[in-house]
Amino acid sequence: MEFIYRLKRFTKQKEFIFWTLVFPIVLGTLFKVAFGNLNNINVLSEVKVSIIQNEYAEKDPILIEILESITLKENSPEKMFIIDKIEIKTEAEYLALLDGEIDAIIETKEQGYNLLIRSNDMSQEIIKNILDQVIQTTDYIKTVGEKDPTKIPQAIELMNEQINSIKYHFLGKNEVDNTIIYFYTLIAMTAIYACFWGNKEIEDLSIESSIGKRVYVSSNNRIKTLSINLGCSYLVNLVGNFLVLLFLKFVLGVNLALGSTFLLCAVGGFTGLMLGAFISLHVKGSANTKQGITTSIVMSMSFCSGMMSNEIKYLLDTHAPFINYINPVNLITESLYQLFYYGFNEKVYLCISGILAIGIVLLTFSLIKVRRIKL
Amino acid sequence: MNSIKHLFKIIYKNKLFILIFLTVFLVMAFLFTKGGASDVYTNQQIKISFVDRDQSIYSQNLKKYLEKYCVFKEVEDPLDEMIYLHIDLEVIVKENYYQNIMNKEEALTIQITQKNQNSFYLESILQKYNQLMYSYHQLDLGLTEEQIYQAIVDNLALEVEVKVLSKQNAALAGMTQFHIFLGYVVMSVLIYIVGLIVVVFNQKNIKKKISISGRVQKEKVSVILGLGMFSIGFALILFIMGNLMFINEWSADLLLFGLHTLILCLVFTPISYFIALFVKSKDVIANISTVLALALAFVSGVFVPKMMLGDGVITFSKLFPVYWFNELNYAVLDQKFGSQYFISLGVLVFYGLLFLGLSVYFSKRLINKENE
Repeated sequence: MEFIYRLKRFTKQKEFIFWTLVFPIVLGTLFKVAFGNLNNINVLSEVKVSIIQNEYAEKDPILIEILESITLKENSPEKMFIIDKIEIKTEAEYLALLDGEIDAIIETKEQGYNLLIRSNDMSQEIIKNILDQVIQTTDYIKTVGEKDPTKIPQAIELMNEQINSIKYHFLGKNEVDNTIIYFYTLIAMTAIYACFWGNKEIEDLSIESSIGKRVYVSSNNRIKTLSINLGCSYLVNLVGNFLVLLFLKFVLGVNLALGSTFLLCAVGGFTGLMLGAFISLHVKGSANTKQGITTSIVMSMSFCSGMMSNEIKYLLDTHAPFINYINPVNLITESLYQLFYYGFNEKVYLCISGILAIGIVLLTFSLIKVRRIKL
Repeated sequence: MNSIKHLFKIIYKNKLFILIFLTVFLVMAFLFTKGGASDVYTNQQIKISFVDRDQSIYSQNLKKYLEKYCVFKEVEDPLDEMIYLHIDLEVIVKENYYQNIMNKEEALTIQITQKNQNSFYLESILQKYNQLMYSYHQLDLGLTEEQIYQAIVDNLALEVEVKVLSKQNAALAGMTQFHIFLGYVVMSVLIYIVGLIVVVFNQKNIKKKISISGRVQKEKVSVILGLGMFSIGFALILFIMGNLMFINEWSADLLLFGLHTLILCLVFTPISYFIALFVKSKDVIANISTVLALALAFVSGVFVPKMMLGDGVITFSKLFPVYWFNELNYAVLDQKFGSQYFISLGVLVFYGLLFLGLSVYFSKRLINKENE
């Protein structure tokens, strides 16, 4: 009876419905909108090059021929380089050009080339590599000529032979998705948001609250009431998590296995609930302060798990892995990541055990505190 | 002037929360700040795992050659290491590497999760090496294996001259990233704190007290003054933090970044005031602050660089002040203070004035409504 009464009461808790349902849905939609382009970032794309027209460039048509012969994919008509010829000289003009649509400027010298770029990144490295190839091939022919000039024609012929000595092998169960970590962190954060319910349950049983006063004067056992309330919160949070998962999978099209993800939410929800209860019991201050602290902690945990930049997660993994081991949001994200690439494996079980262990530690400390104080 | 005292009392009462909030966000900003571009050209080095199944002089020479372009890492599970960006790819030298090259068969396998610029770059480096190795051996110039390797290395050592024209440097890129992240910090803290103050002042009992005192206008001015003082003080804290963080690389650019942060704080104070006019609960203000700050930060390219956002998102983000704040900071990074810089500045100031006007208008309207 108490359980049903409590469940009914939750329908009036707009704020917690917001954290459990509305916030993750809004954030998930934002991720979808903001990161729509992320998967195309590291993929090969067109490179726009300007070649300065000077006396040496006119004598060197090979460069343009080579650049024009390179395609984005094998047997594809799409060319990698879009070439433009320019006749400007000042550095300011070069800079203005590089600020616009041009990726690099090539200046032909008497021997070799100058490559003018705006910043040092990989797409410009590719252009450099191709230009290198042109001067390196010339040097190779020169070397052969020094050893045996009669072999120069054969040397040129050999360089034109395609040897195809390199093959690619793709790893993983699924194709790489650069946006997936953001959604996985969101799911993890949503599960841990059960902490707000944990906050609320402890506050409701406090002697200062009207409900707490009623419980205090009733004959009910406090631990029993608290257990029922927490169980009820857990259930409501789980339902909220499931709805969020359905939205992410079927509306936003996020690649996730519903069953295993839900299991992780269930485990994460338990730890989240315990975290909220722990904060409410151990932090002195108003309900607002406690909620604020909880929000800060969850946001920090989500940040460390890569919600705002996945590089943060990798940075911590490399330099401070301990932080990631004790961060339940990260452990859930990590499990989801493992499931995405490998399916259920040892690491997933290890993460689940970690999340549960954190939850049990928090529960133990909360129980000790509950027995000591008047709520 | 009682209101100003009350305002700072509210802030003092929430000092613990503000302190935690500020510490958390500044730690986030610190972690978020990473090095950027350099004005000195350096070869990009790819992190790879190199598996030598051939163990011959040929494969060892290949590894020696690759040292210039790659950082080698020994890994147990290449996929795992690729997922966590510890390596970019894995190169496997198959058995009978030399024979395979001569027979034009597969000699190397590149293991990756997705073809990308790094793999293309390494492929071209390997291809050049293999092609020269094949050619020199086919030519039969009477060279020993060591001489052939030396000839290949000498040929491949020739490189074009690269000139990086940008004035960007790593320290400036770090400063820019830090100050762009401050956009999120400013939104989160100001919407919450200013909102909290406005919600408290909009409580009926306080409104009545002010009304009875007969100094409604004076108290209103003092609240606005107090909020202005708070946002300037907050910008000053952020400015000091920024200077402390980059104390070793200090440059006058930090003053400009500080000025931008101050402007953003002054713009977000009326915006937060305006939002809070329609909110009655402190809890709701906390929720709005979290959601709005995160949403605007994601859409405006605070967490993800602008180039990674789609064109539609960029157009949409131009509707928000944070986008223009980011543009101002990028202008410092590029050292470009042309018309675009002043347009961004103008738009930001326009937002501040617009919301100041809207706040005054709606606050009057709400009071009139209540009096009716």
